[in-house]
Amino acid sequence: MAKSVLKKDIDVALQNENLGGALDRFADDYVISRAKAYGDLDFQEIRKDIIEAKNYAIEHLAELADQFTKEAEKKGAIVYRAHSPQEVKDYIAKLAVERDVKTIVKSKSMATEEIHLNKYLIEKGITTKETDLGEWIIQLAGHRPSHMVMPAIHLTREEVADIFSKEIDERLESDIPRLVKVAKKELRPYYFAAGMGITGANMAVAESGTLVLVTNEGNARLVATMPPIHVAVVGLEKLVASIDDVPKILKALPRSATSQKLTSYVTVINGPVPTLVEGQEQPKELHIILMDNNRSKMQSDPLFKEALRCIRCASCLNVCPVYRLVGGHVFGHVYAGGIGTILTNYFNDFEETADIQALCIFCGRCQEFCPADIPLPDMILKLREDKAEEEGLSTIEKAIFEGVMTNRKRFHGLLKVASKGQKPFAAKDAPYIRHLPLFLAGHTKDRSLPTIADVPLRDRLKKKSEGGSGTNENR
Amino acid sequence: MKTDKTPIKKVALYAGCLIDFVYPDLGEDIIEVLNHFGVEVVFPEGQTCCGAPAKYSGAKSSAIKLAQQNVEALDNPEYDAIVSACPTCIIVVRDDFLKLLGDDPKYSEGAKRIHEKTRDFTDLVMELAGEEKWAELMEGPKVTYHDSCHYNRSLGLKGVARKALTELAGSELIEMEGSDLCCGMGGSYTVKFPELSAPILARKLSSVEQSGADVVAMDCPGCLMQIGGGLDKQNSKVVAKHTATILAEALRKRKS
Repeated sequence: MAKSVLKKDIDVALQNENLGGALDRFADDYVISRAKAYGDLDFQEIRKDIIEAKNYAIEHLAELADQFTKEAEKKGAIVYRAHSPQEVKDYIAKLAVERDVKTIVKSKSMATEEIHLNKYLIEKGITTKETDLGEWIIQLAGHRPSHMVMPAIHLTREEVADIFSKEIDERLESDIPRLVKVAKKELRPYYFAAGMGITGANMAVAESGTLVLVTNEGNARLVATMPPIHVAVVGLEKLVASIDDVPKILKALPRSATSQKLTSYVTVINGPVPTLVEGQEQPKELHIILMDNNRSKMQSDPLFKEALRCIRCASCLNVCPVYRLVGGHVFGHVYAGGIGTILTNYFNDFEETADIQALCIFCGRCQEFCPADIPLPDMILKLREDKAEEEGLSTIEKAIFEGVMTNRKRFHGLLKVASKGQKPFAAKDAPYIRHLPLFLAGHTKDRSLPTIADVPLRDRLKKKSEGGSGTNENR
Repeated sequence: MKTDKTPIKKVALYAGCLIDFVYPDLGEDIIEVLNHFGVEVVFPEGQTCCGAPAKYSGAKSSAIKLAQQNVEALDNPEYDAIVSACPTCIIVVRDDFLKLLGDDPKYSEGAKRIHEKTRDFTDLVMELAGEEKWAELMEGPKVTYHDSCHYNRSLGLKGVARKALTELAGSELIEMEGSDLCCGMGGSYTVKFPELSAPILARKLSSVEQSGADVVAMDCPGCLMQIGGGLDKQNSKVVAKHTATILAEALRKRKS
């Protein structure tokens, strides 16, 4: 995305009153309802536990992956260790073809969004059906998620009604319970017809080979249990060492994600369970794909490895002053907002990241709310430095920083000239004069321009000290 | 070496570009308040931009050069502390100089000494003030407080500033909704994304107006420029002030 495209996307997002209105209201409500969900619990204590559990997992990532593989296989699962997105896609497509699967139901998987699995399977002639309400809506609309927890948050109920109306060929009103009913009715047959169910996982417990799914709609449970084959696509960062780590993360995840004390469903999968195939009880096939896709590379970076602590609550999006204005399609790629910027850089595309990182205003609110205390501002700043190093600064930035600001006498001289706008100045300095005061703060039509003082503090004090009060010092 | 226990008798004021060139009155307020506690304030003339704009533009080599120049200007055993009223500058001077120059044989020691001595103005004032009170509560105008991002989150001082306003200056404090939300300043962000900065500011201004306060206080000259400029543009009756100015006014009122 070139700069001008980014600017255009921002404009479109800002013009979209639905987007601004819904997100803005949500962002305000979120802070209040989240605080209510935490109640008297000590957020810093919960954080400490999560950081400890996750840091341990990050330091022992390869070990835990091996242990998880061994334990899950002991319970009858087939574990596949995938390095690249293509390996994941090939594995699933091959499995589907071998088992003659025509229809796949899916739930709860940002990891498959990350690798654009649906597109690939559809190209192979396999029908895939997203069953999370939000995911289904954006699948029908042909959008990518704009939020990790609420993927369709950029759409209003009216827009959803339009999308559903087209799908079922019946004019629907924008009444939410009615829309949910339609979704339920439309999706239900697919759980029974599908030859394969694909889910993600919120946690993968190494010591027991256990998967944990945290959901509200109940569909993930259907996806994981009804079809004869269950494939779970799990990013390596979901690994935790012990079952004792699960409640630590569960204390924060629903509270920070959806302001709930607990979600409606917490599903714990310990190996394959029996299922019905053509009326007969049969053992189910459980495939667990442990996906790397540059997570190991992330783990080897002393700064960015901390992002592997992310539990995907998306609170960094919810509290971001920029996200609430433009949403995840502008401020994000597959993953959005602050954490999305970092994940995109590793999982998807550095080019894309270069644009997204520019949107951060460095207020630090994301880190304050992050249950894993991920230093997102530091990371985004590092990406900015890398970009500047790789692409070089813009001409005017170069002129200001290297030509003026690092030369104090010149810099201050120009500021003084700028304070007397009407005074003639040397032609070679003209472009700096135009940009320097703006550099202290850009011009916006909504704010009075800052004026440079006639006499700066340093000169005022010098005058005084010459008069004898001793507040200035020449060194 | 200076320790926490060193009595603060002489400090260097690190003004930062905004206080030096846009808000010199604020600079004088800072000096006046510190002088009240018997602290001598000097202005090391070699001080220059801390490098925050370079930092946030990813211009690391310029940030390093500025760090070196400032270490030259500020590293002086005579100073018991280096004081600033700009939180963005404080983070750069206190922490980034050391990060940028940690391996520089010429400057690393100086950066370390500066790291140990750099203080926020309001925080230092509260330490010096002890039990002092300059005004009885609710004498003055009603004040609402804007939590500047770097002051609140990076320095962790939001409570200190509120205490200074209420307990020392006797201001009646009314909380605005979303006091911890960014004002949209973010340095060069206003240049790069004015279309995003403007609605962030608009929201902040509406929270300020709705609070019913006469004054909005803050501890950052960048926010002061953004919020003050926004209030001015919409001809608001609410005035934006740095905490240092409110303290200086309370002090003058007490003396008069």
